[in-house]
Amino acid sequence: MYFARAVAAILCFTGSVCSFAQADEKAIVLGSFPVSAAPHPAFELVVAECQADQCPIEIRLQGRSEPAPGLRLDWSAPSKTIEPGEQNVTGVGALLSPEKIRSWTIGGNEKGIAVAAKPLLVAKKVPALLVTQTAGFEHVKRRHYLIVANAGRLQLAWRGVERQGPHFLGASVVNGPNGAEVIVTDVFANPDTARPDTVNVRKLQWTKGAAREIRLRAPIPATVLGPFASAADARAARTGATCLAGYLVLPAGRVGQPRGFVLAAPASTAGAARQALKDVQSCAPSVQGRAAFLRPPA
Amino acid sequence: MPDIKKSVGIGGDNLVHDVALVQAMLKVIKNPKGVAYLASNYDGSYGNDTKNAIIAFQTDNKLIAADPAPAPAKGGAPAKTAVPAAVPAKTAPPPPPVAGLDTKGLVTTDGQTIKQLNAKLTAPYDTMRIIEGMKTVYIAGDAADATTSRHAITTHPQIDATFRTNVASLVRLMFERHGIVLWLTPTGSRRTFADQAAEVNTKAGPGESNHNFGRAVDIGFKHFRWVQGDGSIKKDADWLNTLEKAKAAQANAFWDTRDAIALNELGLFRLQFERVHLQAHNDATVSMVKSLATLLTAVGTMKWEAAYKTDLGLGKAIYNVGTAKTIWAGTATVTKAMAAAVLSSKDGKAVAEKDVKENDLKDLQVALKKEFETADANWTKWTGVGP
Repeated sequence: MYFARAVAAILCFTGSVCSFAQADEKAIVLGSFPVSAAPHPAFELVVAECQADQCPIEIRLQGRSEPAPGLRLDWSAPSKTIEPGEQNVTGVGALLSPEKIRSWTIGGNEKGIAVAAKPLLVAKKVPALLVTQTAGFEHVKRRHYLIVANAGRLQLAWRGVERQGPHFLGASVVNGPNGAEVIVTDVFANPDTARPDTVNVRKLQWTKGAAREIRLRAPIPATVLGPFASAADARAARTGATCLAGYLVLPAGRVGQPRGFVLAAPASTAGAARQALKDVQSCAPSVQGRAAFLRPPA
Repeated sequence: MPDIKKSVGIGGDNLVHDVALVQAMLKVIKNPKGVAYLASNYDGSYGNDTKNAIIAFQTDNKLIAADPAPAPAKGGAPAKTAVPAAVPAKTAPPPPPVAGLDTKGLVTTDGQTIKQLNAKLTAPYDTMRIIEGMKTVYIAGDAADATTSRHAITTHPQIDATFRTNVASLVRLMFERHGIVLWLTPTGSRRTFADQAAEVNTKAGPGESNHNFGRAVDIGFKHFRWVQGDGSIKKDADWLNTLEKAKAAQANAFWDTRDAIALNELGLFRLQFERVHLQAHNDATVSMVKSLATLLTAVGTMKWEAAYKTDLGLGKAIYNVGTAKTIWAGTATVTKAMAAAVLSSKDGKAVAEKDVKENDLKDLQVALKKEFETADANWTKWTGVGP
């Protein structure tokens, strides 16, 4: 029974490494995510019982008194060693944000799976949880899931799969004009130093009980550095300071400049862009920058 | 030349790869009216569309005996000899062909129909190929590209010698068997520790990647072109991203084809999540952080333990000094107690923590980074250490 398992579950609190070698028979609740203003049970992020060296990671609804299947994420962890943490950036192209999101690394530093989650309302009275899994050590890959609670059942409303190679897929919750929105940033970090990177920004639109990606036509806040005469010059500036590693090389036209290239990082808010600019100015004072807006590609 | 392994058509074997290849041919070859023989997109599934396309092609090219003229309809013109609109996909074996002609609706491996199909293909479709079990047709790569790629690997000074021999063999075998060119992607060979520090697509810090020691490559598909369902050609990226977006399982199947050679025949290893990467050893048997600590100890002046602790060269207490990334960035975790210990050892007299200056801390961070720089310079001495 789920209730019995839930009672037996162990809460792993932020701030220490938790090892559960003795508790392999039981599910471990990593965190609980209530959705404010929603009369619904909270979401729970759970490491389920391990089968050999596969420990499934699931989303469940808290306090269900009858069996309700958890929604299993794509990637399982190799063990139940858990290290809680925080992250405020989930990869290149993910929106800069001062907000730190709760995360856990499950299964160790080199072989483990990191998972982060943030609750939101995707529509009036429709609670949801945006979950990001990060896997890999040499090369990192991410998957995002938007999970909604619908009439007491969990439904996978959207899955974002990062492509092979130097692609990055970010998914962030921002406050939009009509409430919380999920913004998806799809980045190609071009290995050709003479050419710019690409970034496409979309948002998830919730209509008729389903989420679909639509192209974001409005500019979004960004921290912008430069301009530089060429993409190669922009890359050289980026290489010169560790704090610029996550910045994208983009045509200056994306930020309303007539020619050249810029280093840019999209942000969740204009304030976040300004704060990021301050951070850059302290670590790379020779680089000129401003808070601006990133336009959709032509 | 496109080649089927077994028969396709009425009563044929209709293996998915053969069906897809014949379909793709019938999709790009036009009839006398300039229309593709295959009306629908090619997909590897044998059905009425394919059968009708085969018969129409055979009829137009006089590869089968003409059907006996049907009796004229009462008061009307003779019925057309065109292919029936719907023929069951699986029927009894067709009657034996007339000498010199093919069996209606059947493409055999050595028949006239496959020869005529090939004869009517124009470049670059005349090099279409498909891998057994798959349903995505592709255009064969350029032999010169394969040679150049292999040469670049075999002469690469910063890839471990044994490893690069295996990688070069992979390039050769992939081209010989499948006509596919593999190559090192632009950032796919050895990375210095500084290169690694600039990488954003990795959790591995400087000295923690197989790429830092010439034991890994990112080896993707060079100028790979595949045929879309409508017969048009799509040029893909090294990582097959367009195919991945359209048909993820097929993209994975191409990687699996590469890995069938790389892993099973050449003893290389892949990563679980990023397909382009191949390396010399099994991740399950090696800890990169422990291996780096071992290298640091072997070539530097300090004793190191994984992730990351060091005796600062004093042979006494072990101090936690932070991550590979912070040490390389010159921001290692250092304390006045650590600096005092180092200064005391150097000066031969006790130095109190209160006498430690900011510069002393900075010097210690520089010394720790120097250890990493020494390891970088001695990357060939790296050996894998178990987790």
